[in-house]
Amino acid sequence: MFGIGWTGLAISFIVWFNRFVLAYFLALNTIYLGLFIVSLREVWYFVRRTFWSDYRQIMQSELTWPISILVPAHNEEKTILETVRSLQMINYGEFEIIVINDGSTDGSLKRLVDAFELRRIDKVYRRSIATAPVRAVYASLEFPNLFVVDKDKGGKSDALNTGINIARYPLFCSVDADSILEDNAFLRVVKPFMERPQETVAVGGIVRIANGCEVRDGRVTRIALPGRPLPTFQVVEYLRAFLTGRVGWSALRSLVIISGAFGLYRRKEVIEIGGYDHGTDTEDLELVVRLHEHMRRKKIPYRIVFVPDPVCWTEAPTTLRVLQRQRNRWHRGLLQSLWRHKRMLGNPRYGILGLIAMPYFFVFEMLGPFVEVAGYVAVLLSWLLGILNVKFLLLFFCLAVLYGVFLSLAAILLEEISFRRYPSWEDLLKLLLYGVLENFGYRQMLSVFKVKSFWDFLRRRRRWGEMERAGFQVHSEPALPAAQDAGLGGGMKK
Amino acid sequence: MAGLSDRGNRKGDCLDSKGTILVMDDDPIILTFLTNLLQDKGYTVHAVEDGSEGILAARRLKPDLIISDLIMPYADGYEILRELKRDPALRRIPVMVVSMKDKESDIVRGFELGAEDYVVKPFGAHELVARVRRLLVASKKAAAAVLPAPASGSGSR
Amino acid sequence: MSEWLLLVAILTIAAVLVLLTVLILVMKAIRQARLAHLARKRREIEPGLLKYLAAREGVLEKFVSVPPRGDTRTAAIALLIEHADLLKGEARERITTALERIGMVGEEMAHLDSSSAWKRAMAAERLGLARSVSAVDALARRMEDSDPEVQLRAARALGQIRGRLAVRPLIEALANPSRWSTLRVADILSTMGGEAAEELIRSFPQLTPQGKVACLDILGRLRRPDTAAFIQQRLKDENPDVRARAAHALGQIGDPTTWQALSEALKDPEWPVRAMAAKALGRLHAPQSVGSLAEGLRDRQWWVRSNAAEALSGMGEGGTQALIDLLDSPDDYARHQAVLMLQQSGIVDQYADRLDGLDLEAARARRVVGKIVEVGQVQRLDDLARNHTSPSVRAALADLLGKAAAGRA
Repeated sequence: MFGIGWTGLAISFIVWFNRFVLAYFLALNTIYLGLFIVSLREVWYFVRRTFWSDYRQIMQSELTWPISILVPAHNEEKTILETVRSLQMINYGEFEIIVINDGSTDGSLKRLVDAFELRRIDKVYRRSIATAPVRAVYASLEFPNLFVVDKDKGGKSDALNTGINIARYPLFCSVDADSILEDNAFLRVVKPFMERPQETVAVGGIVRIANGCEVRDGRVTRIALPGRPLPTFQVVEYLRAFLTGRVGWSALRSLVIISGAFGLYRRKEVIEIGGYDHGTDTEDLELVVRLHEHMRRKKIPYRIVFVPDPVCWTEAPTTLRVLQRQRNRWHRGLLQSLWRHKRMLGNPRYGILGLIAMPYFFVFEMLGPFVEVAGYVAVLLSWLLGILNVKFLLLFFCLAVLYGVFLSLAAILLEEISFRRYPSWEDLLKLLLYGVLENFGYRQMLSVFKVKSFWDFLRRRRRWGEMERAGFQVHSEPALPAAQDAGLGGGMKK
Repeated sequence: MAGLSDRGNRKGDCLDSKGTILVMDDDPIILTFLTNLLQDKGYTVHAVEDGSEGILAARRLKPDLIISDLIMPYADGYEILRELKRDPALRRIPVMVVSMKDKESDIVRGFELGAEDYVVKPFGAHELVARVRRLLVASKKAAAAVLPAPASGSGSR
Repeated sequence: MSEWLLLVAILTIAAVLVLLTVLILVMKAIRQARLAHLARKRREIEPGLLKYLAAREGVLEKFVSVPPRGDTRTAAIALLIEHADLLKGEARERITTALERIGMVGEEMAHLDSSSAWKRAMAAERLGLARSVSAVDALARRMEDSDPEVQLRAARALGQIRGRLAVRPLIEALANPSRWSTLRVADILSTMGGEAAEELIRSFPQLTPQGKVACLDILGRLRRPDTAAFIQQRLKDENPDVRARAAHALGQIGDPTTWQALSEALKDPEWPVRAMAAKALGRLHAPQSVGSLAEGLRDRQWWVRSNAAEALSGMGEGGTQALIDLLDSPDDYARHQAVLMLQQSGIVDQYADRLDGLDLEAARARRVVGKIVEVGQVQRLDDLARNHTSPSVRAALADLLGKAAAGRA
């Protein structure tokens, strides 16, 4: 008797849960659909509104704002020279390159001094943001727009803050040693600033996956899809996430995730909010959320937008382990930022960001993976318990999988009508195939990763809390395997 | 575009064409335009899109004039110029830089690295032809001054 | 609700997906076919068109026959526009003539009246590329368009067409009070050369104060020496903004004969004017201005002092001496600036070189280096103390640096 009661309870629970899962997927995919429609409109307008003479005009105009390019470097002796050289050749009018040597223990500094004829100078600058001590500032005799800052180790955020202090131009961006920028990258991301200089506070540029592309002298010379399946999945995922997701959010004025991408920020506002933060794993995400909060609190009209035209190429992880670490870090960073800014949740003071975007991230990005994973488990259980309803299964299949396929294909369509970076038939067919396959395992796997990240996040928060209570002054990033793996740059080393 | 001629045919070239010109630019439009323009005026033109291929072609063809943009993938574009002026076999060939870089510092740098002429894009078509003509004449004079006897035509270097 | 319905729903969705896939593939196929077609047409007319461009005379029809409509015409227009950026002079004008004859200019001018803002903007853009003078009036009208994008494109198009007719509507826009468009218009005018300069000078009295400031900016960017006299007069304008901009513009033009007017401007009651005058004198490198610049080093506004210091660092012996005198200044920032300037111009290195020796020069060098050590900016000296090639120089430097450290202790 008792047993049947419990089984009955379990069954009803599962049935109820199944319905809940259906509702979840329906809601999630509908939001994606909404975002896609918004993105479609945005990309369409963007492509039409961009006249081919625009970029040359921006480059030659004296009105174009100069940019300070910050390159935080920690033990990058193998690649730092290449990075700096390829930056020196970018297509842009006025800019300066500031390399921040964050307490490297290898020969990075010496290589720089030798290669560019650096001399120590006494640069007068304002320490607007507190950072670890700066040992010296170097300038190059041969290249007047190159500076190198030697400082004590403080972590990437600290290095960036130092760079911000020293930078003299109104805009700055951070470039990792691992990213490969397109020739016109800066022209593209500065365009929104030129169009609306008072309002624009930050601009994000899209990131594409470089695996499979031919790279020569720090430039992508031929674009192709990766040869291996894992990076190819990521290509489709990025297309979906960037083209349909972020462009959409950008149009809704709630763009939050510039990280994993390329961002150009206005120096003044970033200094106002105190620069980059030390306590998170994804410092750009945190920065952008704080920017949003700051600007909304000050009630100043502003915009943070996204440029859909590709700007930056990066190496994607090729093994599951590395991929997991990367996603782990990203998700943890998201959770940390969400938690810190929980007061924005559902708060009408923060406009669409507070009312829609934040709840979205909370429900679908944070809790969502649990629901998804639990949903699959529930299906399995239902089948085991013999209560699996074919109707339900079909519905589930539709909403969880087919709808996803639709969105993946939609993203590819968007890419085809706009940027067409993958011109060959072979690549297109491959993309379509992976777009479909993506929903039969890859996306589910990512959700599992996210669940794990959540547990990690909870565990670390407890640890963080202890450290804070003990009055720990933490300047550098905690030495977790993930951080070491990714180096300072956040990119993945082979 | 003109096919690649053999070294052996130089005498034949001499009779039919006013000189061999090698054009290097990664922009196919300019390549086509210059090729057509100069061929019409009676020069033999070889066009190359890639900088490294261009250097190889220069070594093989020993043209009378090289017209080059400051192109990628060479490190800073000026690398090509440096390479051309560093190689003893190619040093004497006059180089005309045709580039969009129009800042004074860029032009000065070009001349400092050894370019015989520097033309900024956009350029006047007839002006360019006039410059080409003058460079070839000057270069022939210089070559004649170096060679002891005026024996065979513009054969060996 | 039966399972059948669901199954049908699933099949429908699957069908939609398949259709989507097919749509993507078909779109690509169509586009590629079209591109190939256009490429073919282009190959047909390319030789003729290129000959036309390189020729000195002869109308388009003599070289190539372009039908009044169709893909050949599209390809021809595309080719002509592609070469528009490449060429100037005669060949460029032939492009414009060809585009007019093919009817592209007329067509785009008609599009300027389209109801779609995007079409109008596109038309303005293309007319700018075509550079046909016949479009000037229509484009001038579009500068009053309701859509800001169209306004901007029209203005830019006028900027590319150049010529007196195109300059006038732009100057009228300068008189428009909105600060932002003033900058944009100025940006465009500064690329338009001589006619812009003349028209600007002519219309100057009618401009608003902001317009005048923008005008001087443009003249500075145009860098035409014949405008120097006019700008010099503006140094006496009653508006301090105008005076400051005039000083700045003179710096950009770089005519050394204007040094006197600028030296007088260094005594202007308003500090932005003085700051700009100092900056301009720095560009002029006129040795006679060293005296006034040295005076400027004692100005009560630090920007003026800073610009004066920088100007002096480029002025040879006289300037260097003035900077060295500044090392005794009571003002912290002034001393720092002086050291920075001396470092940047290599003077510090020169003095360090002279340290070995017992003559008057060496004594002087020791004094100067000693003063720099007192100011506290010793990084360069530190480097030299370690890496200088001459051991006696290294010893002398170490001595001076050591004394200072001891003195402070």
